[in-house]
Amino acid sequence: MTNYSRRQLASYAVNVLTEGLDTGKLPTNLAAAMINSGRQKEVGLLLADIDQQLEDRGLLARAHVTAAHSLPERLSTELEKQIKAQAGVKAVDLVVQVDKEQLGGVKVETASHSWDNTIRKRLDTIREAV
Amino acid sequence: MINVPIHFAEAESSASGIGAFNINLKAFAFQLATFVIVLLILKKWVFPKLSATIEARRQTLEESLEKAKQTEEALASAEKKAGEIIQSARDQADRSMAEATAQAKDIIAKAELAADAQAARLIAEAEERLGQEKLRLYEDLKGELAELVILTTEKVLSEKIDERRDRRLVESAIKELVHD
Repeated sequence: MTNYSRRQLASYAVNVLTEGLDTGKLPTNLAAAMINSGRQKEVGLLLADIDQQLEDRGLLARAHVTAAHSLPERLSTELEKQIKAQAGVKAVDLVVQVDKEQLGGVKVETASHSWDNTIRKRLDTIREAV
Repeated sequence: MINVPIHFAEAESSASGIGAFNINLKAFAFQLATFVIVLLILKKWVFPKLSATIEARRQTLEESLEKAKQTEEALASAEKKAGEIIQSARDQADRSMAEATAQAKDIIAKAELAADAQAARLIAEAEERLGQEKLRLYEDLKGELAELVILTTEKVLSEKIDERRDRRLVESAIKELVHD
């Protein structure tokens, strides 16, 4: 059985998802390929590669948002809009996480982009500079 | 000899010639002969030996005097040589002392130069270490001060930034995404 690279498997998964093919066996096929090549522990990396491919193809950006407080609907919508524009994707999947350590502002990370406009980041930058 | 006065008496009786001196010719002749015999004996056997002994003693004395003279001369020569040797030794000692003094001065001068260089090097090293230590302390102090300021800022911000203010910050951050 051929061993596929993680990138090949991610590309295969994105093709199945975007070309209207049967997605019922997709998880099973991916799991079989990873087990066959002894890379069971790299499932997380495979999912990250799939996110990367989706974003690179301009389809979907999974954005991990970290803020000191929960975001109201208005700001979430505004943020999605901005991420779409900046990442050049059709859709955005926001995964919001509240972290008081950030003090204020927001941090956004996608597969290909990263923005950190938190107060924590600014303080860390000052600390490193000093 | 006991009868000499008798002979004088007899001579006194013959008042002419030698007899006027009351000399007994026989006795005189006998005494003269005896004297001559004794003289001959002495001359034959005693005087030569005595003369030889005296001569030997004289020669011995002369030899002794000569030896004494030679000894005296040798002593004088030895004293002269000793004086020369002592003078030479003194000169040599003076030269050695002068050389030793010069060498000691040279060594002291070199040691002083080396000590000065060593002291200068130690001072320079100490100054460098002091400067490094000062810089390190300055950096530590600056870092600690900055850390203190940052911690204080964090504390103040955590108290001052409520949800309402944070929303404004988020709005500003979203707008900044456009510029990034």
